[in-house]
Amino acid sequence: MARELTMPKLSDSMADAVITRWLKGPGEAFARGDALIEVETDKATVVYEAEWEGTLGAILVPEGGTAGVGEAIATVSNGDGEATPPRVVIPEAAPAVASDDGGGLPDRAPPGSRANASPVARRVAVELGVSLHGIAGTGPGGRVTVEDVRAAADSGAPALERQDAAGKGEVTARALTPTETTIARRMTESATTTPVLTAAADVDVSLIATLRRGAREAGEVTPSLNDFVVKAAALALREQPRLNSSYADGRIETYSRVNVGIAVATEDDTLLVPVVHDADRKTLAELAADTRRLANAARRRTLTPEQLHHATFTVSNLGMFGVRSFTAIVDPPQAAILAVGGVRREAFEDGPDRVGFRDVITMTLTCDHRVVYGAHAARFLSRLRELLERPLALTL
Amino acid sequence: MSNVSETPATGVLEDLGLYTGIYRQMLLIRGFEDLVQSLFLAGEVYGTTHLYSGQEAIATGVASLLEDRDRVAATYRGHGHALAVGVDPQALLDEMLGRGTGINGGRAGSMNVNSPRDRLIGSFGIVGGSIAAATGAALALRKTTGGVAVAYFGDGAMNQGYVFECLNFCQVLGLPLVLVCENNGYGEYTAFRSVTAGELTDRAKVMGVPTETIDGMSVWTVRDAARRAIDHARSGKGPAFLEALTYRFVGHSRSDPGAYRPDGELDSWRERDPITVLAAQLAAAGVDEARLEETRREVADELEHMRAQGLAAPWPTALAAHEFKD
Repeated sequence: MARELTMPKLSDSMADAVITRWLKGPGEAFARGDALIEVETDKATVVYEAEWEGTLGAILVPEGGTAGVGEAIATVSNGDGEATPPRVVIPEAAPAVASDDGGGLPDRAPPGSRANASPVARRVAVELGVSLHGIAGTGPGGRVTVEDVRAAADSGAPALERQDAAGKGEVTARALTPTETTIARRMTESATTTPVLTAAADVDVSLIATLRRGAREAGEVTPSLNDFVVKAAALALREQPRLNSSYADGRIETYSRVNVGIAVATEDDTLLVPVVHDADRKTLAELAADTRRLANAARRRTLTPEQLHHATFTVSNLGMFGVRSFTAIVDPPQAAILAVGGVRREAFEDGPDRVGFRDVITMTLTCDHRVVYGAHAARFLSRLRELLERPLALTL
Repeated sequence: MSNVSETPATGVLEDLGLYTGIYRQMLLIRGFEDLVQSLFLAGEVYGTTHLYSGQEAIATGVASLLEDRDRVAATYRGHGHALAVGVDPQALLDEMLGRGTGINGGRAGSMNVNSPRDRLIGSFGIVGGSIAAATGAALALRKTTGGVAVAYFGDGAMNQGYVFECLNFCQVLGLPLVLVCENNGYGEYTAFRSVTAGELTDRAKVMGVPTETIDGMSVWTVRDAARRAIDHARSGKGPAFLEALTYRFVGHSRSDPGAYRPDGELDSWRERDPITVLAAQLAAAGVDEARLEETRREVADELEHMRAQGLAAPWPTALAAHEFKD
């Protein structure tokens, strides 16, 4: 009679695990204590030893396959065709008392063989959803290092599939795409290594709204509000290079070119950040043409690597979705990111006893405080506001 | 380590009936841990568990000398401590399985078991927490029944500050505290010598506390030394400190394959398996091998029965869970 070998629970929090190696083959007999499978759990790679004896039948989950706790992974039979129930085994008495020449207590050895990945590498691997299995370590003695894990993530290493515990209904899981992996890695790196400061300002964009209305009525290609914001940011960045910088290994690097990344949501639901290079040197019309071309290429996923690289600052705009304001995460190694909310109509005191209305947006600047301090952020926002509220300079 | 003989101590078993009972108790602890392991692999155990396999001689030896008025504080590797002071094995297993029939209603799990009527004041998930709890118990016991308080803890706990605060407090006030350090060579995944300087006993000696380092794999040795320690504490002279050298035959917890241990280290300690050592001593003292075999079979049958009982036991009721939350 055949019985099933089921996936054992090998860590406190394990819901499922990957079988990385079968250590016995079909038809092979095994005894209690024989190594049967090598399993990669959420915590470690573990060898599971047989709890009872039998002969391996068909393997139901091959190497590289995932099974939940309690799911059948192979069929097993034993010699006489009867299932052997798991049984508590008590050690046999053996005359093992050491005689006078017997060894003493074994020494407390210094740490010897350790797991072959550093703890940081393990943590990062989990964050990035990268399997440690199969990564060739470059550290001492073949140890997998953080750099190895990051490199594997960039090269699209096999991702761990994960299922949640019961209670959330049926779970469908998929591996992250390489783009999503990069986003996850950079956002985690940013959130865990960058000390940020956030400052927000309201800007009156009534004049820009009027200008754009006028341009539309004249049948011209109209720069978007975001184009104005990008242009203003580029000019402010040129004047205030502190924000056009990076913190790197105890130094501040400041760049001569002002390249502004523009966050774009693509139709397949991911995020790309094409770059308007030298945004400070382009006219508003040139910049508008650029952003239109880049956004289209991003949506069609036809951006070239050159169009995605060397941003020194990023603008992210969720205004079109009706968002009033939000904070964005700095894209390392950039020093700052500007989050732009939607236009809202606001009443204000327009002279004594008079109420006027204006178009207002809220801009939120998030900065790496190792480079950009509160006063820098305030000066930058203040200049940005000046440029946007008196937009003539932007249109020249 | 210097105080321990090269060979396992095998003194005269003064009472064969007593040691046969101790043998049974140690078998039960080992089998219990194997059973918990098996049920854990099957996904039946809630929360993590830390197994006592390999260290049975210590809890069993110490508990065999305790009186009704004494109290014990255990570690989170505490199944052996609990069974040795008389916690019902079925109730303890049911606790691991999260059942309403567990010793703490199925809500303590492996790491927080307590059973005051069995003298177990708690099992402590905080490393070294047992020492502080036992210090409080020692203070109370001196004022009331004259019992002693025993704290079990591991080598990792010796680097916790309050070990010294408690020891100092008890020594100054002459409180009946027996500290039993189970030095199994690893604090979680870290080798003893990579985090701990000097001899552990020296840390107690500087306060004038009597200490012994003993072979924790020989229950005879444990009893021999524990008797002196308990007598000292009971006589009002303050705490005593035992360092029992031992080894866990499994990883730190059920998530730990123990791969950091050097090749061959486990095998060399298995040669000193306390159960095997005691069986050989009993056989040498003239106990019939058939009698020992019968004991092993009885314990195995008892554990099989416990498995079936435990898996059929009822879950805690909603009402009980509600009461617990409030």
